Formats: sequence, C-alpha cells, structure tokens
Amino acid sequence: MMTGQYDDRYRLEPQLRPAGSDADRAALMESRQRQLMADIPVRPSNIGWFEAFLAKPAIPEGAKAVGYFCQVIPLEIICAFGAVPLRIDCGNSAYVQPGEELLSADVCPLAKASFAQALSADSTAGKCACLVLPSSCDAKRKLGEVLADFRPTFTLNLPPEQDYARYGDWAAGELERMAEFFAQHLGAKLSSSALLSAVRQSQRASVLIREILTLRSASPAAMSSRDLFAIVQSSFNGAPSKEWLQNVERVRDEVAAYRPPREVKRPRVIITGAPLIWPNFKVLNLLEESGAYVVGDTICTGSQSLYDPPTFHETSRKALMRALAQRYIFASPCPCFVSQGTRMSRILDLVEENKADGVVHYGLRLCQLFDMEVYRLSRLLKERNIPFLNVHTDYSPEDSEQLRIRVEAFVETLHGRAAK
Amino acid sequence: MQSALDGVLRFLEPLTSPFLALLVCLLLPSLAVRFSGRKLALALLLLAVSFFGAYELAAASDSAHRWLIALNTPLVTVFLFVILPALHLPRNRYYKLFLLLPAALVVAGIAAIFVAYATVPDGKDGFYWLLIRPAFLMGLVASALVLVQPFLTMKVFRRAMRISLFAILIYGGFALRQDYLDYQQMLDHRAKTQGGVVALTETRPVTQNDNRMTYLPSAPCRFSADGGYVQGCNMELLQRIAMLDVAKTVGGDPAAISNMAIVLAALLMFMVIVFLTARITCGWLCPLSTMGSALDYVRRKLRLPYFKPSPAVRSGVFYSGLGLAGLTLLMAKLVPSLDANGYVLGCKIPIYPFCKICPGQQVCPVATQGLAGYPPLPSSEWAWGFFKVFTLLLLVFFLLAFIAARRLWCLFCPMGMLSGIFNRGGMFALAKASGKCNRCGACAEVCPMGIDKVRSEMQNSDVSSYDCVLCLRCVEKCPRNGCLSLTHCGRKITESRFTGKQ
Repeated sequence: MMTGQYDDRYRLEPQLRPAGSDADRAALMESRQRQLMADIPVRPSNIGWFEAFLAKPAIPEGAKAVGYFCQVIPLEIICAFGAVPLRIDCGNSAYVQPGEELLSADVCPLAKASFAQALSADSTAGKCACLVLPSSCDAKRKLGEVLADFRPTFTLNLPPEQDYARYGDWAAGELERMAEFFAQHLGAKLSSSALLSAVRQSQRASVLIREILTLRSASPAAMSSRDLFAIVQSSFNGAPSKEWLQNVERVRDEVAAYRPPREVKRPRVIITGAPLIWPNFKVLNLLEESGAYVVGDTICTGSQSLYDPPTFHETSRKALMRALAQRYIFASPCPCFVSQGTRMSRILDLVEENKADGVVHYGLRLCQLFDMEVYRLSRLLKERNIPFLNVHTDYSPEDSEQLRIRVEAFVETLHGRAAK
Repeated sequence: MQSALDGVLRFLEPLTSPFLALLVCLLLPSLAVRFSGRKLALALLLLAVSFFGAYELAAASDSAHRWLIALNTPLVTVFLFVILPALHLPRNRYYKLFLLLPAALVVAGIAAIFVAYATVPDGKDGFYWLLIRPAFLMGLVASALVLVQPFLTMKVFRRAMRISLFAILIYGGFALRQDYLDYQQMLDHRAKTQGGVVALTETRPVTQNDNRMTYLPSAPCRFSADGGYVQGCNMELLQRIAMLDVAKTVGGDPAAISNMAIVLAALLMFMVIVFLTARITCGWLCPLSTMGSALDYVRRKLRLPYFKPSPAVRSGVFYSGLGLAGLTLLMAKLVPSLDANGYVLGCKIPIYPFCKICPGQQVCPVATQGLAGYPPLPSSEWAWGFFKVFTLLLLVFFLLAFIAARRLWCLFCPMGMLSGIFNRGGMFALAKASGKCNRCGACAEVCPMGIDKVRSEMQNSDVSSYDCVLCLRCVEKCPRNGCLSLTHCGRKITESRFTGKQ
C-alpha cells in the first residue's frame, strides 16, 4: 500500500461471495421496512425520491465513487475531488450471518454485516475506487485492514479526546493525509474552491434540517421520524446534492403547511444511542407503532448527522480542513472518545427544547462504547426525573415482539406526563 | 426666544452627564430583573427625577458646575435614548415604535446639515464637506446604525459600524465641521504645519492642551494633520498624567494645579467610558484595528494562511507592549525636568515619548494624506537613536502582525490593555450556555485574539477574558443556537444563531 498504513507482506487474496441468497434476503428485509413505512398516515409527497437513494445507489456515468463508513468522514472532501461518496456501513440483518462466518460472532452486527455485504459480488463497495473508514472503535480499527485486501482502504485516525486546542491541528493533518490518499486513488486534485462550495452545500443542508426539526417539534404528526431518517440517510449516498436540497425544501414546505385534523397529545421521546441504519429502523418502528412521537435524536445516522454545520471564517485549504475537523471530529457525539459530554448535553438540551417526556436509548449488541455510556446517562436522567428506557438489541427482527411489550409499557407510563 | 431655548437646554443638561449613563447602567440589571412594564417606567422616572435633583444640587456651586459641564457630552444623551434602548428593548412589534425616535434623529441630522449650509456667507457657495454640530452627528450616525441593524447580519453590521466610525475618526477632522467659520479655521489650522500639535520631530518641549476631558479608549492619532475632531487616546492621557509637574503643583502654581485637575477629571471620565464599553472599542471602533483588519481581509481573500502564535510568543508580545509603554511613561515623567535644549541627564527626550514610537502617528496621516503625509523620522540624537529604531520597528511589527497574524498587534497595544481592565466585571460580558456547546472549537478557530477560553470553559457561564476585543465573531460563527451570547448589564443582547449566511 502506498499510504503505508497496513503491512503489505501479509495481504490476502479477497474471497468474494456469490450474490445469491444473501442478496435476496437483504431485498426482502428492505421491502418489509418499506411496507411498514407505507402505513405511516402522513408522508412527504416526494418520499419515493429519497427512498431510491437508500440502497444500491447508482454511480453516475464516468464518476468515481468512494465508499465510506461513519459520520466522522467529511463528505465535502470526497465531493471536492469530484467523486461520489457512498455509505457502505450496512444495517441489513441479512448480512449478519454471513459476516459471522467470515469474521467472528463476537463482533458487532454493523461490522459483520458491512464486511459480508462488501465482499458479496455486485456490492456497492466493490464499485468504489477506494474505501475510507475512521478508527472510531476496535471493530472499525481492524476492519480497514481486512477491507484493504479487497479495495484500497484508508483508516482515518481519530484523536483520543475531543480537545481542539490539543488535537485540532493534528486532526486537520489526518484529513490532509486522507486527501492525499484520495488524490492517489481518484487521480484528481483537490481544489479549495470545490471544497468551499461543498462546505456551503452542507451548511445549507444543516439549515434545512434544523428548520424541519423545529417544525416537527411544534407539530410532530406532520412527519414520521422514520421518514426523517430516510431523508437524512439518502444524503449519505452522494452527499447533500442540489436535487436533494430542492427535495428537502419541498418536504419542509409540506411540513410547515401541515395542519393536524385534531389535536393529539402523545408522549414525545428523544432517541439516542447506536446508529440506526436503513433498513434497520426497528426501534423507530416500535416507538411510533406504540404511539410515541420521536421528536429528536442524537443518532449519528439521524438528524444529528446534519444538525451541526461546518463553519468557517477563512477559506484557505488549511482553514477549511480545520473547519471540517471541528465539525466532523470535535463536534461528533460518538462515544469512542475518552469523554463524551457533547452527547449528554445534547440529550438534556433536546429534552428541554422539545419538551420531551422521555428518553429511549438504543444499544446495539456488542457495541461496548454505547453500553458503557448507559451507566452515566441513566443516572443523569434519573437525577433529573426524566423517564429512560434502554433497548438493547441487534439487527435481527426476531426479538421485535418482546421489545414491543417493553416499549409499549414505557410509552404507556409517559402518557401521564404528556397529558400535562 | 433664544433665552427660552437656553432655558430648556439648561434644564436638560443633566441628560448629557456621563454619571447618569453610569447610574442607569449600574441599576439596569436589578431594574430588568425585578420590574416589568409600567413599574420599569416608573422606576426610570424616579431615577431621572432624583438624578436631576442631585445634579442641580451639585450645580448650585459654581466651581462644581464648571466641572460638571466640562465632563458633559451629547454622546451620553445619544447613548441613553438611542443606543441603550436599541440594546435592551425586546424585539417585538413595539420595537418599531421606538425606531421612530432614531428615524426622527436622522431627519434632524440631515436638516441640520442643510441649515448649516444655509448660513454660509453669501458669495461663498461651494462644497465644505458636512457642516454639522457634533451632537447632531452622533445622533445621526448612531440612529442610522440602529435603523439598519435589523436588516444586516452581524458580520455586515460590524463592518458598517467600523467603516463609518473609521471615516468619522480619521477624516472627521476636516470633513465634519460645525459651520462655515469652523471650516475656515480648520483650513487655517492645517495650513500652519502641525500648529499646536506635537510632530514626530518636535524639538521644543511645549505642552499645548485644549482642556477637553473625553479621551476615547482607542482613537485616531490626534497628532496627525487632521486630528482635533475627537480627543486623543488613553495613552495620551496617561502621558499627560506622567508629565504633571509635581513640584510646581505642590508649590501652588495655579496653572499646574488647573492642569492636574483637568487631567484627573479626564481620567475619571475615561474610567466611566471603559467601564461602560470594555474592549468593545477595540473590536468595533478603533481605527487602527480597522486599518489592520483591511490588511487581514486582503490576506483572507487571497486564501493565505496566517501565523498562529504560541502561548510563549503571545505573552512575549504582551509584555513587550507593557514594557515599552512603561519605559516611555517613565521618560514622560522626566519631561518636566528637561532643560532648554530638551536634555535631561545628557539624554534628549521628546514630549509625549510614547506617541513618538506609536505606529498610530505614522499610519493615520498616511490614511488621510497618502504617503506624502508620512512624518519625517526622529533623528538619532533622540535618546541615542532609541526613538528612530523603535518608530520603525513598531511600524513594521504593526503591519506584519495585521497582515500575517490577525490581531496579534492588539495583544501588544497598550491602549487596548488599558481598555480591557473592565473586560471582566464591566457592563459587557460574553456568556456561554455550556449545555448547548458541541465542543467543535469554531469559537477558538475564528477568534482573532487567539483566545481558547470560550471553547474550553464548561463550568462557568461567564467566558469574558482580558484579551477579548468583543468582536463577537465567536457568537456569529457558533453553530449552536443560543450557546454563546453577549450580555449588557446582565441582559442578553445577541446570541449565536446559525442561519447559513454568516
């Protein structure tokens, strides 16, 4: 490898998996989720446009694609190279089993499924010129090396602490290193004016998402949180493009124009925790089907991912890289850092701002980072008398009905608070 | 008619007293918290009545009245009736009602210009810049800014304010005169090369004071050709204090005693101003920093990186500024002992020694007159070349610091150091709601003074610091709504709000 991140002497020949039954089951999971969401009473009229981007995104003719994991990779840099960013972390339970066979059963479902999906023939990752992922947890730190056998891969090192004074320049340097890697594998140059226009584009996305969140908070029935997640996640493939922004503007106008036929008081909850990746919206399905409004989230694949814009004052390449490091690394609510006050603050702030009645934590099985934070979170919320439910589960739909009983019971206890 | 007008003006005189402004600001926090609506109006009325009473009581003594008048400035009236309400009134639909007042003041200001032109003697038709009385001008500018503020982003508003104040402070000396007569006097004054002011090459120790009391925390150099529209800066005041002839004063010399009284009154006035404004004068008013920011703007537009000084360099810069200011103030202390040739202990020292090395004296004339206005350098005989070397050294540092290191100069600037004494504990404060902070560090990144406290402070809500020039760039750039805010007298004036238009 040219970047010298992995030891070339022990590279292995990639063993691709035939498409076959995995892909069929994956398609089934997706269509099942689509069906569930078709029952949502009020939906944006153009939701179909967004759904088309969720799985198997098309790469435009002649364009190169970069596959990426996680919310800490600045898509602006990929776009500035003229490439299309495609999200390759997988939320489809169909790939968990094959992933277990390839890696290990004791790795988190996200890492297993993503690896199996990447290695299946005709996968999105296979069409990418190169892949990039952050060292945001142990699984991802090692996933880069195994993926590197298959496609050129870059592991973006993250600072251990979100201390901008200490690690700001270092993190911007790591982003520069990533840009060098892209330059090698995309055969393109990074221009700072392209970077600037990409940054402006994502600022626009933030403004729109914030407007929608404010409108939804005032009138949650105007739009389902699952549709919001679908809209947000559609931007992960191709970054917030002009068409995406236009379509979101339309959604915003529809949400603003929505008038509920009658006033309904339902419990309002904030959801936090591990990434919910299409088509694994299991917890959102359960919450909404149990009669709760999900009015806010700190989920890195939900509205949180677009909530914070990159802000810049200077437009030199160095300054823009620092602005991206600030937004993607130092403002990240990921629990992979030594201390994570941002997420706690955000949860408490969301509860206050949205007058939420409770907080639901989605713990992904085998993800220690989120699990360890539940200790602090649950006690902080208890001190403040905010009801809390920890839903600990994986991708498989099998435990849905057991969870439904717990979620329904929790939502039931919130009704009293909501009526006030 | 005239006597009736004088009577009204005499009655309203307390409204121009800086002590009223101070009193109102000190009482505002408690007023704002405890009362609302009618009670607030009643409290303000009571306050006004008692202040008017106290003022008249003090004015009953002739000598006290003389001092009170000397300290009065129409700026206080503008502050009380235009700026303060604009800062504190809630922005609801009634705010538009308040805006009628500044609108009327703008109309009055424009009318005043026409009236002044109408009184130009016959046969003298022509263009004499803006003939307007200072009180009208202050009302006009403040009102215009208050009127446009709701339509501008903070960035554009700050730029508008800095440019208009720059124009007034730098070009006001000749572009803004009271009337035609005053304009002619100014032209005569200019014709007499540097008459009455101290040039860089001044050799004779003459102190010529115009006995005004209002020293601005940061100002254009009044020693430049068109200086005189406003009083000089706080360093000029400090040098005047240092140059007081203690022996003569103790000896009972009436001129020396009067000089000391004037200087001490000016110091009191300066303290009031600094308590009310803190270093917001550095960020929004100082013409030197406006010139520097223009250089900085060019660098940014060229997408060039800037030099980020380490903490050691920063404190080095700070202490060299402090050291140089201290050294030149010590020299000023020697001024009363100068002999007829300007020597003391074999060393030739100019009056106003700090001004001799300050870049303000070099860049302000260039801003008004072009390169031709650059004053000749002091020759090597002055303190064995100290003044020649440091004049050049500081000019180079001034330019380099602004071109390549944002506001590194402002860490060095003794004017700014002095203005910052009430940065904490004064009327303005920078506040942070740490629960809304996402720790991204945008505030630390955009801070032209290189302050990290706004980012790192997570316990206390007060994030003001001594170096802060209150430019509010952090508030403007903070991506979390309501996280950072500026408070005045304990009330929130503005807060961070991401709109994508910053």
